[in-house]
Amino acid sequence: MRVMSVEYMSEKTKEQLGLTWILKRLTPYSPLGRTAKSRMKPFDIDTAQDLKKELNRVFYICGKLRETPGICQDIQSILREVKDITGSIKRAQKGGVLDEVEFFELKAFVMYCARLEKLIRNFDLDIKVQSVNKLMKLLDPKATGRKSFFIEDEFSPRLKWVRKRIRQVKKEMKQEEGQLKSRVEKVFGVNVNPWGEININKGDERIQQLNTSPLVSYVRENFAEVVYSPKPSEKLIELKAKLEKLQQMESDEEFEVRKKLTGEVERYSQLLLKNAENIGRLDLLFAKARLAVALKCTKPRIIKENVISIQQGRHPVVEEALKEKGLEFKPVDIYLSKPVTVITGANMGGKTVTLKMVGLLVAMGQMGLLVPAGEMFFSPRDFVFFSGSYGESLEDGLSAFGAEIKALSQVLNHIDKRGLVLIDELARGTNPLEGTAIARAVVARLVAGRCISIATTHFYEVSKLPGVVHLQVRGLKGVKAEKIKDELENGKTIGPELLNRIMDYTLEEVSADALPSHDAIKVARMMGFDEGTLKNAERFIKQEGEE
Amino acid sequence: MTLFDVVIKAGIDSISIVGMAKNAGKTLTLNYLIQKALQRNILLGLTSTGRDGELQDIVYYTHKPPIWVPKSALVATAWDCVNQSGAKIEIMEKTHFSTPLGEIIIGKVRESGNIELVGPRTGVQLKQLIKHLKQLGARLVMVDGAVNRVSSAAPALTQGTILATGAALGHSIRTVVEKTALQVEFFRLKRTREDLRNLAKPLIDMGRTGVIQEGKIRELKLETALMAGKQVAESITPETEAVVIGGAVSNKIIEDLTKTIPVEGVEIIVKDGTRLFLEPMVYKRFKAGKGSITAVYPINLLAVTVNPTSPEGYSFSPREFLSKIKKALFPIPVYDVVLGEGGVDEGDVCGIHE
Repeated sequence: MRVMSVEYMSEKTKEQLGLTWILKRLTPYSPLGRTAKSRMKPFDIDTAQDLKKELNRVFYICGKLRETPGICQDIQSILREVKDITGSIKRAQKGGVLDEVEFFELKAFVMYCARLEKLIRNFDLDIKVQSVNKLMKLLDPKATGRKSFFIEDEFSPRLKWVRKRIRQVKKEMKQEEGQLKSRVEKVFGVNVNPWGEININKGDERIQQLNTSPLVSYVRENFAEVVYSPKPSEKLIELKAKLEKLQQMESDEEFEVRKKLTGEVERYSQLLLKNAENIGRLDLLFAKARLAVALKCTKPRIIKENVISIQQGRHPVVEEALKEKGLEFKPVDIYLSKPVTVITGANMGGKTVTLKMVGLLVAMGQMGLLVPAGEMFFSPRDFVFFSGSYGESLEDGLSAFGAEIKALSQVLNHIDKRGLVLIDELARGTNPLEGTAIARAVVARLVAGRCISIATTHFYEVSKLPGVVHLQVRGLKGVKAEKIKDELENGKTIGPELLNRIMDYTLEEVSADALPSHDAIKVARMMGFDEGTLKNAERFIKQEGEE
Repeated sequence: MTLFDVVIKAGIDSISIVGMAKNAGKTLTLNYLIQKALQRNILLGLTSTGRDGELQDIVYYTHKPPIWVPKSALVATAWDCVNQSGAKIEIMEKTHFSTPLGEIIIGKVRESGNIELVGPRTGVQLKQLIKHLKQLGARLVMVDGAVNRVSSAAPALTQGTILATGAALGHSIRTVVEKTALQVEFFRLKRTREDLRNLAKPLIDMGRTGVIQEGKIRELKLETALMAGKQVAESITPETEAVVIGGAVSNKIIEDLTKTIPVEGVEIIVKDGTRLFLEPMVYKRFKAGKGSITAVYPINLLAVTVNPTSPEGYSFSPREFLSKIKKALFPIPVYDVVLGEGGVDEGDVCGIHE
């Protein structure tokens, strides 16, 4: 029983490990898919079965993208179009009356459901979308198959009748207006314009006649003109009143139709909501699969044993940064089954990247994403902790050392859980004597816990503690000083490019009494550091050795 | 030839109608064109340009005069306008272009009636909407635009433009004619020479400012709009080929320019003719100094319509007004759609100068 709950991963760690970068590249097409993404959480140890299922689904979709690209294109083009209609459905459930735009969107949604159902019918997937044929028939009474929406006459006989009457009355009105117009034109010899107005110059002698005539009424005037319009007849006034009444009836009846249709939507709301949820899940699955293809991922295996094993693991963020410089990421193998593993070795030898890669791949796998590795198996973690050299924590007013100690003290409370503890440059921020002591003490605590911990360090003594697995970066071990000299003098590259080419990033397990690697000066030289200073440094080492 | 004949003869499939002021008779012109298109059985697409300033729109939203739309026409307007319209609209598409009156809906008129047209806010959206209306079958898309709005992109985005002007612009025929003539001149700015245009276009599209020199464009980071004219003047050398101004060109910019340097041979490249907000005197001085202005997106001005009546109650003598403005705008045809439709001899009033 786990009593105290612990946050799986802090926002800062997500950023540092590169999970934020990964999640930014996970892009569902529909708002429903984005909702599903926002609900994504790491599966915990108790739901390992669900995690396995989710990973299988993603893997399955990856295969479908390859095998049936046409069908997948069709599905994804629907996912790009489909809208989130859950708001309207919930409004219907609460007794609101939906408007035409909502019905338009619902109709489109129902059409997409029917198309998706067909498209994924033959998929071996436990996520289904069901067509809602009865609702479709209601929303498309003329069975046009078009996605447009209009409250058609077919929705109600009364509506049909009212609209017919409106058309009749309008026709009668037009006739009557025409008659009035031609009578005025005939009597006064004037023109009535299409807006039903007569403009008369003030000097015109017909003004007197018009002012007293029962056939026209005065509208307005300016210094030059007076404007009149034909006076509506009794009949026209009656017709207008009739029209207004009919239009009110039409509007009332349209409301009744919408109310009735809303009731039908409510009746199918469970199915519609389920479809919406499943379309969101499907969209997210496709997004996960696209990401997996883009990052060349494999499906991790979920196991019970407290082990993390990664072969040919890559860190996509670092990989992309290297690729931009025309460099290649050298994949790393790592097997972690003991409580504490300490990594030592050359600077620039990829220790930190390995640490972050383990954290990232575990988190990705646990969130149901495929992982950028040749092969991976692991048991789900209760949390992933990362302590790295992120400089001084200014907002907390802590120095680098202070920030590390604060974070470590929190994680040491949880070492009875199955966490993943990643510590970069343990106790780096203080003097070597106390730093070593603190590091040894922390590692001793971790050895006794249930977490899988990895620490990188330059304090050699730490690796000698009992129960600690010591991995060393091969680094520049096999590289002769002459080769470096030659590369620097004749080679075309210097700095990171050169290092990337000749550094051996392989991790190898070494015995407790292994010698520390002394690559710092070599690395500095390859980075193009001032030679005089380096010579001086080598002299100091020599002196110390002699003393 | 009637105004509608001019539109048909132009062989275009989109047109914007812009008014120089409120009550310049833009709605009359639009209604006239709709009637004519209906008579000739031409399927219309109708939309409008949006308004600037979100908050202001919501707080001070004033309704535009509704337009009568015939059966079968396609309209693109905000949802609230569809909902409150006297016309019956079948919803064809819902766009994600938002306005203070809801998202823009594309609909088909099922029962004719009045509807308020409220369009999208950006030029990019308007362009997409015009395309969409055409795809849905509109043979002529008409955009109800406004020129007294800074961001009216409509004239440059449609294949033709009609300018509506009228007594609402000023108290004397002379003022109205002068103001209109200047606007017409802006609308008839020549298209920028191709090599300069290619250089200027990226900056123009981003609304930025720069200078072209020796076949290269250099952006000017303007400190303040107030100082723009002086800053531009300072960056002009004898080698300068053109000055590119992506935003609005105000009196101040041109005045500062003419005061600071000799403008002879200076070419100002603007986005389109709606970006110029200049007093007649300022522009005259600039032109007298032999400066020139060209547009990256030229406007195809087809005709001008006039409304001799002002909402303030005064009006000009329709025929005097028409004949004076015709003379001033030659060879652009000018129409008084009220008179024209009032039964006055068409050859007399609606004829064009050719």
